[in-house]
This record gives sequence, structure tokens and C-alpha cells, in this order.
Amino acid sequence: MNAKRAIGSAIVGLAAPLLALSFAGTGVATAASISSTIAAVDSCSWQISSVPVSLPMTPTIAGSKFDGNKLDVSGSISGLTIGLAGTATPETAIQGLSSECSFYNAIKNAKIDLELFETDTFQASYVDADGVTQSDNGYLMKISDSNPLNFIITGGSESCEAQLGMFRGSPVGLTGLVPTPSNPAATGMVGTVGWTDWVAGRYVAGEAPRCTATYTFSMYMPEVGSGASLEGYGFSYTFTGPQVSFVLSQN
Amino acid sequence: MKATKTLGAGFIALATPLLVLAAAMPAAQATDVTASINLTSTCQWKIANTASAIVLSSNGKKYQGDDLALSQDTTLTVGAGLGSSTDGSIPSSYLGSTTDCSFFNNIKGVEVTASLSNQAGFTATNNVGDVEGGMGFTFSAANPLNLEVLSDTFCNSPYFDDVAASTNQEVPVVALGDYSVVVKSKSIPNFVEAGVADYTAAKYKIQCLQQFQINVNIPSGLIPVKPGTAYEFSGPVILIAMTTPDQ
Repeated sequence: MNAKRAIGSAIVGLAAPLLALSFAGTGVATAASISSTIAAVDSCSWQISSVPVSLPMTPTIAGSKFDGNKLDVSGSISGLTIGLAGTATPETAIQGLSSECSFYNAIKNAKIDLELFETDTFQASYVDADGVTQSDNGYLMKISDSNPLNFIITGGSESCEAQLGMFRGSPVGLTGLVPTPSNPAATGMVGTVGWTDWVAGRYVAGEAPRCTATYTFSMYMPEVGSGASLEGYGFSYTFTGPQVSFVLSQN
Repeated sequence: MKATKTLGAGFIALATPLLVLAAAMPAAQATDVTASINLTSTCQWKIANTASAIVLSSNGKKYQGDDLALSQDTTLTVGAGLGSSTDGSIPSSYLGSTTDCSFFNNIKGVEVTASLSNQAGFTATNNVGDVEGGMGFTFSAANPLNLEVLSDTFCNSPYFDDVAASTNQEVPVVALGDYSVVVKSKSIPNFVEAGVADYTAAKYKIQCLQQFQINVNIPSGLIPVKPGTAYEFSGPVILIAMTTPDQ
């Protein structure tokens, strides 16, 4: 029994320094920084496909010739697309693919205004027998309230109407000019295609709203008479008119 | 009576020469008494598996303006056992308690706590290195940085107060805005027996392995300046501290 006590004392005597090392102070502490790397979805943007550089109008009734009487002319832009995609890959909106995007709760609607620029009058010209282009200022073909440049949207997917609120099937007439630097005094009506009114916050790739339709423009050539006449009977005429601009806005 | 005294004096007279004789003889052989023993190792509390960085994951999801949950699981191990290191690392032997140890009557308990540095939110840095205040966020009662205990092992043994989870089945959530006790021991025996094959016996489990999750949401309504790119979110530092109070 005494021996046990002696041994016990020896152990305590040796162990005390170890204990002091192991449990001194308040122990140990470790620190871990908290971080994360997250990808943010691209922001949504409305896109419009490239508008053709020219819009040739021809007699609405194919093969008709102008004989001095009123003649309807028209021309179409097919495949013009309004679509939604991420800003980093805007072309996908036009290609029917779209890309993943989000409005980040700042939903933007889109509309397209069609605006006439520079002139509301068509300049008539013809190529004479000598092959020389001749201007014919005696015939006036002008956009006006009585002869507006009408456009109508036809065809296209259901989303054009159901999702994008297009004025599909309802003709809209352009009758005036939009002021420009070269024509600041111009005032007139702007044709609006329509506002989007059904847009959620986020779209996965390929599922964003998209509308492809045909835009048909029409007006008529006024009859000859009442001060209007043509010089180049028998020749082919070209009427060069205003510029029509498709203006996409988002808000 | 006198005779007796005389005899007594006679013995003394006789004895004295004997002592003198003895002093002249060779010395007696003496034996030192020694003992050799092996000391049981000292029990030490250790914590392990505390990462220096916790990277929260969104599981591949992108931020799109809605709440985005971030989380990361990690495991915290607290054990007592053999070890000479005091750097906080925990030898593998702790986990199996393969070696005896003793507190040598200086029994220490253990308490592990988790707390946050002063940064009360996340800052966001875009892909060109600009800090975007509009993408950063602070913690709130509605969106705290949480410590969620997913599971624990042995923490419900007789030696631990399973503070965060009273039973293994519960999955509590503790907001790290306040100081949080993760693991706390209660009565610890002086001697921990080792070499026990059956480690399922709760009495030998002087350890607690707790798996928990750090989670928080990137709140909705944030608007990135650089959408379509990656953002780095830098948050606070979580401190895992261990104390070993006397018992």
C-alpha cells in the first residue's frame, strides 16, 4: 500500500509538466474563411433581327402595269424577328435559340416603332432609251393621310400575339415624318408594332419569347391627272421613297 | 532488587565491548528499493478537421435575381486520447482510442464553440476585380448565416452534452450571429481505457464527431453590373475555439 502511494506520487510529479503543456491557456482555435464563387445569369435583352436595307414595293396584283389609274403597290419583309436573349449572345434571340437570361426583377418590355425619315415623297425616275436615268418631278407620289404607308403584320407564331402583344392582323398607317437633323420641323405619326406584356423574370436557353412575322407595307400610286403627269410613258419607273426605321425600345 | 540492578549493569558492561567489536567488522549489505513503471499517456483534448477555408457551393446553380442557397458541409472532430502534439491536430489514434490515457486527477472537460468575425455579410467582387456594393449583402434575422448540425457520432455518449443536437436525429439550426456552443463535455473519467475492440460501447467513446453545414442565401433582388459572369463572395471568418475547463 505504501509502495502504491510512492508510485502515485512519482507519476503526478512527472505528469504535471505535460498537463501544463496540453491544457495551458484556453486551448486552441482555428479560423476558416467563408467564401463562394457564383455565376450570375446573363441579363435579358430584347433583340430584333436585321432589317433589310431596302423594301421594294411592286404592284400588289402581280403583272399589273401603271396605266394612269390608281395602282396598289406593296412589299413585304418576311422573317423579321423580335426575340429575347442574354446580352452576351444576342444573336441567339434571332436564331430561335435564345440564351439563358434574367431580368433581375427589373422586367423590361419591348416595343417596335416604325418611323419615317427624311421625306414623305417618292422621287420618280426612269431610264430613257439612251440608258440615262431621268428624274420625273411631274408625278407626285406622297405619303399622306389619304394615302398612308400602311403596314400589317401577318403570319408568325402564336407568341407574336399571345406573348408579345403584336398588332397582328390590324393594319397601321404611317402618315408622317419623324424629325431628323436634316428635317427638324417634321412631325408625324409613328407606327407602333406593340408592347410586350407577358414577360417573366428568367428564361432558360431556348425558351424565351420570340416572334417571327411578315411585315407587309402598302400604299397606292395616285392616278394621273389633276396636275400629275408622267414623262416616261413606256419606260420602267422607280420610285424612291422615305426610309422606314424599326426602332426597338425597352423599358 | 539490587541483584537485578547489578545484573543489569553487568549486561551493559558486557555489551559495550560487543558493540565495539561489531564496529570493527565489515559493513552490512544495503539494497536500494526501486520500481520501474510505464506511465499512461496524458489525455489531451484535440479538435480536428477544421478547414482553413470553407467554400460555400450553390450546387451549380446560377444567381438569377432570386434567392440562391449556398451551403457547405464540414466535419468537426473532438476527441481525447494520446498525443504529444499541442498544435491542435488530432492523431488518428484518437479516433479509435487505441492507447490508454489518463487525466491524472487533473480532469479537463472540453467545450468547442463557433463564432463569427465582425464581418456581418458578404462582399461581392466581379470578374474585373471591382467590388459591387449592389451584389453584396448583410446577414439578417430573415437571412442569417447558419450553422446546421447534420449528424453527430458519439456525441450523445455519457461524456458529452450534445448542445447543438439533443439527440442524433434532430437537425437544429443555429444562427452564427451569436456565439454558439458546438460541443460540450460533461463528466469525464480520469482514465480512458484503450485497446478495446468493441468501440460501439458508448463508455469508451471519449470523442465527438459532428458534421455540420454552413449555409446562407444570396438574397433576391440583387442586380449585377456584370451579368453573365462569375462573382466571388467573401464572407466572415468562422472561428472554432476549444477550451478545456477544469472538472
